[in-house]
Amino acid sequence: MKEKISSYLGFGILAAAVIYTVVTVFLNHLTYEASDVTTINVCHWQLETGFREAFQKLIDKYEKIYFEKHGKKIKIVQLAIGERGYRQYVNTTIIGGTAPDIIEKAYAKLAEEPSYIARFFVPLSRYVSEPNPYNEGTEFEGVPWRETFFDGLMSCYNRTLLDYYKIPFSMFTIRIYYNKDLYKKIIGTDVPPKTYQELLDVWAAIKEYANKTGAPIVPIAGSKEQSEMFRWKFLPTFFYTLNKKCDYDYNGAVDRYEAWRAFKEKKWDFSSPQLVYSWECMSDIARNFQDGWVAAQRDDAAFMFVQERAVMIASGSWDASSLIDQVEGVFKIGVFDFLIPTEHPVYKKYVKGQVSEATIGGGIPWSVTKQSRNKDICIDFLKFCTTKKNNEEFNKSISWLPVIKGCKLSDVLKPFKPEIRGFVGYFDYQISQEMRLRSQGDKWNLFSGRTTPKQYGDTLQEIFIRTGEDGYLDTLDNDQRNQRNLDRILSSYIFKWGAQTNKDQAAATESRIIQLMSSVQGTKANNFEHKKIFDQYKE
Amino acid sequence: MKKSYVKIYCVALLFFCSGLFSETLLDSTRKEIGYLNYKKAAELAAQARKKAKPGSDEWLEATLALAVSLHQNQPDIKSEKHRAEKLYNELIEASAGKPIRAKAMLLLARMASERDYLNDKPDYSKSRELYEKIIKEFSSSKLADAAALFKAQLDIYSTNKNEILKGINFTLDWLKKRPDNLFASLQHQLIASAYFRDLNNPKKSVEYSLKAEKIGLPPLTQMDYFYWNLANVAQMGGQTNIAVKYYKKVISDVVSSGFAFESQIRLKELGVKPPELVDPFAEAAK
Repeated sequence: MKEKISSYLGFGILAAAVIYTVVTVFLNHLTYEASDVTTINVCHWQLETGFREAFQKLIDKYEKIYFEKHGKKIKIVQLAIGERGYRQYVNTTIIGGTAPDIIEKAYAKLAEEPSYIARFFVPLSRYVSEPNPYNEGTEFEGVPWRETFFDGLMSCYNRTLLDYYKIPFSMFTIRIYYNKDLYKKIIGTDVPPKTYQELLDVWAAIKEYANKTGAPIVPIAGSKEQSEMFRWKFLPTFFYTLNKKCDYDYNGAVDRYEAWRAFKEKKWDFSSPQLVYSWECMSDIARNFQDGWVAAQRDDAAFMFVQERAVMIASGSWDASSLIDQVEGVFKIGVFDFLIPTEHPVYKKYVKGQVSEATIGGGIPWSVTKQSRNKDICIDFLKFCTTKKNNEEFNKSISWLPVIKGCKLSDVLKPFKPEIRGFVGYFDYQISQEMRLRSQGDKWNLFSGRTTPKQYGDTLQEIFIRTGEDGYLDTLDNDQRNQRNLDRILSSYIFKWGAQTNKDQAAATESRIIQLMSSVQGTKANNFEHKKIFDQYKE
Repeated sequence: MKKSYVKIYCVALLFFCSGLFSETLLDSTRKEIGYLNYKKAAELAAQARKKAKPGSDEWLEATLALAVSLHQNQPDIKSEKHRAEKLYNELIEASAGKPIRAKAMLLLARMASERDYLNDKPDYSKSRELYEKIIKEFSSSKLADAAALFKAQLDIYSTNKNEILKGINFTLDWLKKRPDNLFASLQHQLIASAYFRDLNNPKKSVEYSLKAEKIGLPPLTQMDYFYWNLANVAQMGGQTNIAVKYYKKVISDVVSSGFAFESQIRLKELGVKPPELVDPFAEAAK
């Protein structure tokens, strides 16, 4: 008997597998490929706890409403790809003509560079100018769709292409989470620090506690991602005085062209105190991460915090729900904003305030591909998802910040409310590809203490001087290509200018022509100026 | 007799249908150009052009569509650009007095000033010549206003001060003739930019920026950038009152401006009490 069973077992397993496969394929076909079902594919990289479930709720609601409205079946399928393979997936499917209908727009070159965006994605201007039909009966009835977003959808307006190419679902800010119970045990209070110096003192106290007790605790969990958050929040604050000196066109920032020009005019170099102190400050912060943090992933840092091996962690509002769920019943989480060294005896000369979050943009951005055969349904779906009710519900269920006006924040998210007091602007000295690679690569040595700020600065200075001219011209070449792409769009409007019989359409065309001519004028003027400056200062 | 009526009827039906068919192709061509799908548009335009009667309005539009599509298609191929140029010239020849001639000249002028493939060289004098032709032949049209703006840009984007002043004076003359033209605001901004960048005259720059603002800036202009820039240039030129006014506008007139906080600082530095910041997120957190 046993022999008989064992001799047929392999065949039985194989047969079961084949039957299972056939049935699954058949069921999938019925669900997604039957002739009376329209399938919409949506790809994203959001593998966070709760996202897919929350998104699926929106999808299920929409499929039902669509069927009730049109008597037709649709099936919206999530393709959750994950960050590591996302870039390749998006690039290859777009090139291969098999792109999903809706793509979460980021990472991939074809989804980020203006010339490719114009080629592969649907411009949304005319849709966002219309009212969202799903807002009927609400305070947003009759209001243009874009005006229902917290920023009027300005963060989604592509200023190179002069159109909208994405619709966001959420927005994000970053803060420092801390383990209130452990913090109180060590420091004696659960009130978080209020100044940069207090923060350093608290970190020193935690280190001392760990040394005394032998507890495997570090002040703050680190990884490259965590250190980048400190970099975003701290470095620009040091450049305020440099920005004022080097912002030749008064647009609030110092781009590569201006940085190069100012360098030639000896207004700064890589030994300027603003740069050196910013690097020192970052290195001071990184000394409070765990050993070997450079090799850690963000998940490793999160585990450290959740396992109470780190008292603090810097992260975004996107992690609020996940972190709180994981530590429920174990310890309480508090949140505070980054503390900028405005009162530091040395740094205060340069650091005047924090980075402003007033211009924070919408995240989880969705774009509709031109390859989609169901563009109108895709856009209708996005409209459905971004009513006040749906957006609030979606974001509440995953504890993310909503993007539609009037949505309320849950208590958990109140500390993440964007802080509008602060400065904008950047100082971009990444003049060439080599500069970008080396400054990005060597900064880990700097922050982990293997290089000093002086050594880092000297390396960058040598690269800047050697590659600056070529890098300047490469950037200019790229900007000239973007200027050329503006002309491609302008031509499409000139073509139909004056030929439309519908008055509204004709007026809309003229309005776009004015916008495009403005952008062409501005871009051309800038590019001409940049060339002029280069000729003036080149060696 | 009956047979000849039938023949006439069939021929008329044939022309009617071919007219219909080429119109349908033109509709599709227009749509594809609207999508910036120039490759597809070129294929459709070529078919429409073949079917339409040479010299007819449909033929003229199809020729323009084909020229534009080849001109703007990517990747930029030398033979396509040359073909586009021939088509523009053919169209210009065939459309005397018609607005489509002005469009063809405008687009050809744009092409002449672009660099599209290896060793392609811009020909600014050709662009200038075409703009001047449009201005002469279609002097009170919107296309002439566009040509005037583009022509002035050719003069102003120069390292020669005299050329820059020539461009400014040309623009001012145009504005005297056509003060309400569609691009009046842009023309003022062009002058403002020239005074700031090239002629080192912040006061004149502010004067023309204010005129541009009075006429009305293009839709979706980032107003806080405009106000911030104007305030800084005014401050640079010693026009403190104007600087104060525009720093205040950054704070009060623009929702969620990144310059608002710094505008408060600038006002305090100028000895002026700044308005309070408006927090668009305050309600959400209540």
